[in-house]
Amino acid sequence: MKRFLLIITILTTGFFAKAQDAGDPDNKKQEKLQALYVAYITQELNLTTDEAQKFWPVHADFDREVKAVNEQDLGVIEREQLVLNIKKKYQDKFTRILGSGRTDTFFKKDIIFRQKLAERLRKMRQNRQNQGRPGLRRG
Amino acid sequence: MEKITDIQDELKQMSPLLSGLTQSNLYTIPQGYFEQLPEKLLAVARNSGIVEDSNQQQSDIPEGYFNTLADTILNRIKLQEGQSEHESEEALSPLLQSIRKINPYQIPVGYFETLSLEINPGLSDTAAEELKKFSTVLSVIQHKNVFEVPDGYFNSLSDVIISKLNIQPAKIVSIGRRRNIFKYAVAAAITGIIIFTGIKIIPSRPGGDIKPTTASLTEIQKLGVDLSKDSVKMEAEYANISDADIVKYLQSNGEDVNAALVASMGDEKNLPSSEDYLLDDKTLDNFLNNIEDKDLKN
Repeated sequence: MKRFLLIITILTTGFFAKAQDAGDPDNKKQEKLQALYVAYITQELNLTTDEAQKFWPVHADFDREVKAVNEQDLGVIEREQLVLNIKKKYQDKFTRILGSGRTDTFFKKDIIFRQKLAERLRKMRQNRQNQGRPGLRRG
Repeated sequence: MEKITDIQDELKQMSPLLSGLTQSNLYTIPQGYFEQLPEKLLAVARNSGIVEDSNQQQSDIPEGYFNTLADTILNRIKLQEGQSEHESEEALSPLLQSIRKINPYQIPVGYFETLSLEINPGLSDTAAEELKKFSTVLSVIQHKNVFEVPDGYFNSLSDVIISKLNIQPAKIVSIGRRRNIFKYAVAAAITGIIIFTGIKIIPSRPGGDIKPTTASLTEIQKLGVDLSKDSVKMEAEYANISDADIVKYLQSNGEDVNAALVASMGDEKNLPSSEDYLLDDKTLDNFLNNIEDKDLKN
């Protein structure tokens, strides 16, 4: 019986390990972007190790709730309202860890990170476009 | 016994006569009175004719009277009951009474012996005759065993059959090996089920299973992002990230990518005014070209 279980374990583990290794490269990129977000926020808020250990678990809950709202098929105003409600709900929790000033900074930087990404996206597209149309460089 | 004075006083009030009596028995009889009493009473009864002399009475009973008394009484009871039954039947149905003890259904002698022949004369055939009618072959061989085999036929039958079948010797497979194969087969089946379930459970949407915000600082470092403030090279970290990755990330965070792109174009101050659009049709094209040039310079 022990041998039998061992066989199953090896086969299953092998499959899942392989699945992980061959995991979607897109997911890796998304993880990297999220890691950059964490790095950016940590840096901008000057989080200490102790603060980071308290802040990121709360942020995980906050992020889960916001994403749940974003996944719903809602109108723009309605969605923004729900996200705002979540932000208000978590404001106190963040304040307890970061203080009110840095909590405000967090909400600003959270938006700015995505703005930076959008800006980067725009630049990437422009670069690509310009490479396809070299005449524009002259203008 | 002591007198209870209260009771005595009460009795005196109720009946002075009774209270005055002494405690002695008023009713006395002569000595041996009850011993002679039955004889005296019997003598008085005899004299008055109420009771006859016992000796005379005994002589009136015939000998052996009590031996037959029970039978006599029973016979009398039966007789009375029989009479009463007869009377009641007569009262209920005089007709039944008149035909009593006479069997009204009578058949001729030997009636049942000939009855079957009367009903169906064809049935008179014997079994042999009947069989003959149906199948002459069967009637001929009816008591003969038509199946005969040579002597010792069944003794050698199995050998004959086996020799004709030409059976190849069976391949011997050890039990241990079979069990091993079975074990692997079951393991493979269970693994298949687990994998299938896993595939079904794991979300197919890219990025659906990511919980990036749970990433600890160690995990970030593992991904190659250096957090030490002096050597943060964010630009370098973005190098491998494609257009589509950013779009996906923004969408998953609830951003309208197109709106975000427009918003990232620059300050509103630099945007053309509504009048510019009226004056020149190519205002927007020029503006976009300017932005592109500015970005390239950066």
